[in-house]
Amino acid sequence: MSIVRHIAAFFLFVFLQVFLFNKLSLIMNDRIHLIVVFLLMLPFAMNPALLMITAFFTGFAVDLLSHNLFYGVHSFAAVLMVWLRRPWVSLFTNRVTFRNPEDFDIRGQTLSWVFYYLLFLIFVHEFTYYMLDKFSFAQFHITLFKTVMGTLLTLFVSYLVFFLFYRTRK
Amino acid sequence: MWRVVEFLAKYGNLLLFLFLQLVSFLIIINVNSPHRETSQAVLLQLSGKVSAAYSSVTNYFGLGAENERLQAENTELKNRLLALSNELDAWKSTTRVPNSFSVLPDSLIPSMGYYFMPCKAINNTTDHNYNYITLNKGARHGVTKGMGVLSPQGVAGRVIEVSHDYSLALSVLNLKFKLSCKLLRIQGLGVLSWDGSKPEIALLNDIPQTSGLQEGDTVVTSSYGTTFPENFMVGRVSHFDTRNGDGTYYIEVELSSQFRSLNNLYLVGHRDAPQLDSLEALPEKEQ
Repeated sequence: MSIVRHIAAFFLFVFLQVFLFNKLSLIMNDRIHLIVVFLLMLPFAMNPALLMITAFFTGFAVDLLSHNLFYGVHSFAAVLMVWLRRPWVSLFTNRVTFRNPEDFDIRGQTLSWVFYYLLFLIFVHEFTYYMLDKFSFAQFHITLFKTVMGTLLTLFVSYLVFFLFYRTRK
Repeated sequence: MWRVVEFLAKYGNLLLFLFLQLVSFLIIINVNSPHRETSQAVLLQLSGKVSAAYSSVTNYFGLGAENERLQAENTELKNRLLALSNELDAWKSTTRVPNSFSVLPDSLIPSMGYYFMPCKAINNTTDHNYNYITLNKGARHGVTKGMGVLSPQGVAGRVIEVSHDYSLALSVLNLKFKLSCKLLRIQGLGVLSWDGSKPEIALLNDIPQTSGLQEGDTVVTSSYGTTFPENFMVGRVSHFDTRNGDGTYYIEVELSSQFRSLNNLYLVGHRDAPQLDSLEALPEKEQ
C-alpha cells in the first residue's frame, strides 16, 4: 500500500474509532479498539522510530478527539503494542516465512498466522489500556474481565477488517 | 562523537520507545484528575519519607533554642488557661447555672468545634512563588484537606493534600493562598494574600478607606470559614496607602509567623467541616 493510502486509512480509522466505536460498549464499558488494526497493518519494513512516533500520535489523536476518555492512555498502549510487534512475530513465526524483516509482508500471510499475530498484540493493548484507565489494582478481576471481553471483541472486528480489506489473495 | 552515533544506532529505538512511554505516562498522571490525585498521594509518601529523614538530622542542631521557645509557649498557655477558667468560674457564679453548660456565651460556641493537633514541618520553602510545607502527620493521624496550619506565632498555611503518613500544606507565602481576615481594633473584614515579593509581607484587600486604619493594627483570623478559629494572630499592619483606585486601602501586613524557621506547628481542624463544606457547595450545584 502506498503512503497516501496509509494516510487516508489513518484518518478513516481515527474517525471511525472516535465517532462510532467509542460509543459502543457491550458490558461494563469494554470497548472495540479498531485503531489497533491500522497500527498492526503498517508495513514491517517501516522505520521502527517512525512507526513508534506514528503510534504515539495516533493514540494521542484518539485521546484528544474523545471528550470523555483519559488523555494519554491510548498513546501509551499503542506505543507499547507497536514496539512488541517485531519481537512477537520473530518469536512465533518459523524461520522459513520470516527470513527478512524488511521483506516481510503482513498482508500476504495465512489467516491463522494473522489470528495469532492479532491475538497477542491486541491482548497487550487492551490489558495496558484497562489497567491505565483504572490506575489501581482494586477489583482486578473486573479489569481482567474487561480486558478479555475487549480482546475478544476487538479481535473479532479486526479479523473481519483484515479479511475484507487488507488480505491479498495468493 | 563516533561513539555517540554508534550508541544511538544500537539503542536508539529503545530510547525512543522509553521516551514516548514516559511522555504518555506523564500526560496520563498530570492531565487526568483521578490519576493525578492517586499519583500525587504516592509521590507525597515517597518525598515525605525522604524529608522526614533529612529533617530529623537538621532539627537536632536547633534543639536547644526550640526547647526554650516551647517552654515559653507552655508557660503562656498555662497562664491563659488559668485566666480563662477564672473567667468561666466568675461567669458561672453570676448566672447561677450549676454544672450545666446548656446556655453558653456566643463567643464560646463557634470555637467549640475546633480541635488542635501538634505536628512538625519536615520540609518548607520561602523563596519560590509557590511555597509548600510538608508535615509529618497524614491520613492515619486524622489529617484532612482544608485543615489550618498554625505556627506558635500565628497563621502558617492550609492543608491541600493528604497521603497516608504525610500531608502537604499551602504556605501563606504562596500565590494561591487566600484567607479571610479581620482587623481586630476596627472590625473590618478583608482577604489576605501574598504577592510573591518578600517572605515577611502579605497584602490585605477589601478594607475600605473610610475605616480608621492605623499602622500597627493587629490582623487576625475572622470567623468565616472552617480553616481557623476566630482571633488567631496573622500579623500587623506595617504600611498602608491609597494606591488602589477603587476606594480600598493597599495594606501591607507584616506576618507574625517566622516562615524561615518553621518547626513545631499545630493543625487546626473543625469537627463539622465536611457538613459545612457540603452545605456551602449546594447553591453552586443547583446553578
